[in-house]
Amino acid sequence: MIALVVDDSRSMRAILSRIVAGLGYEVREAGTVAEAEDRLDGLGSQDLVLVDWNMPGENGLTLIRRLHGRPDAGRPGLLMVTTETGLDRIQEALAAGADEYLMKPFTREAVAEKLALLRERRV
Amino acid sequence: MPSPIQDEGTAEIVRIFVAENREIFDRLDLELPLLLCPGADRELAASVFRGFHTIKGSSGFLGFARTQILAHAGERALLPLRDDGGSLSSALAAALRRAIRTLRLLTEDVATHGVEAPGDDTAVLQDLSVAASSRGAS
Repeated sequence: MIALVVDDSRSMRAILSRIVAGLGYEVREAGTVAEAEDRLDGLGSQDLVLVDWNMPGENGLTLIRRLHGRPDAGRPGLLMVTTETGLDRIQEALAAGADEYLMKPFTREAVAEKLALLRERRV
Repeated sequence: MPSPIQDEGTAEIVRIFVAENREIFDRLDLELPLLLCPGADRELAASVFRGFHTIKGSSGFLGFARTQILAHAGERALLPLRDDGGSLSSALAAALRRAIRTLRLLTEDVATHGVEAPGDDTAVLQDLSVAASSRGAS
């Protein structure tokens, strides 16, 4: 299983990568939407993309929309990871195609719980 | 406060946190004065906002509470500027500079000792709150 961690913050990428690696994922990292799109090769329905909302240039919502809109049936699970906590923002992310939503700051347990939920839904 | 650094993996994340924060502070020192100009670029406001936002997120996970609270207050004070545009008031710029100075000191505490020094940030937070609520006045 592969997890692609997309966040412009090196600290947040390191934190999330360490957690998802501990949960058994092979981790890839990207600091921008463009980098993420270059690192999607080989990702399938058992894999995950964890996307920060607020990034310079194109934001995470754009990436979620683009990935959700792919004709490919085997698209990876999409998890929005963000400090945007308003209900309207959560609804916006889910409407754009995010399968789940994780609020920062998070705990290891919260990440594990969300990833387990995503896996269950995608079996 | 106990150090969150309990193993080499966390120590490496803290090193990244310190290095990234220093870069952000240097960037904020350059960008903040530009926001005082009338008609300042919205993308510039978004960049300054993102600086505080990034620090808030990583400090929260690492358990650096003073940093998290100060960064959150800075982020909240900048939200109207990011969302609605406009220029920064001189009062808010001064309050943000004071917050950044405190955040720098806290980051250097973490770099040196692995923990934040104890302290009271009430005055800095109050400054931010007052300056943000009187936005537009200079």
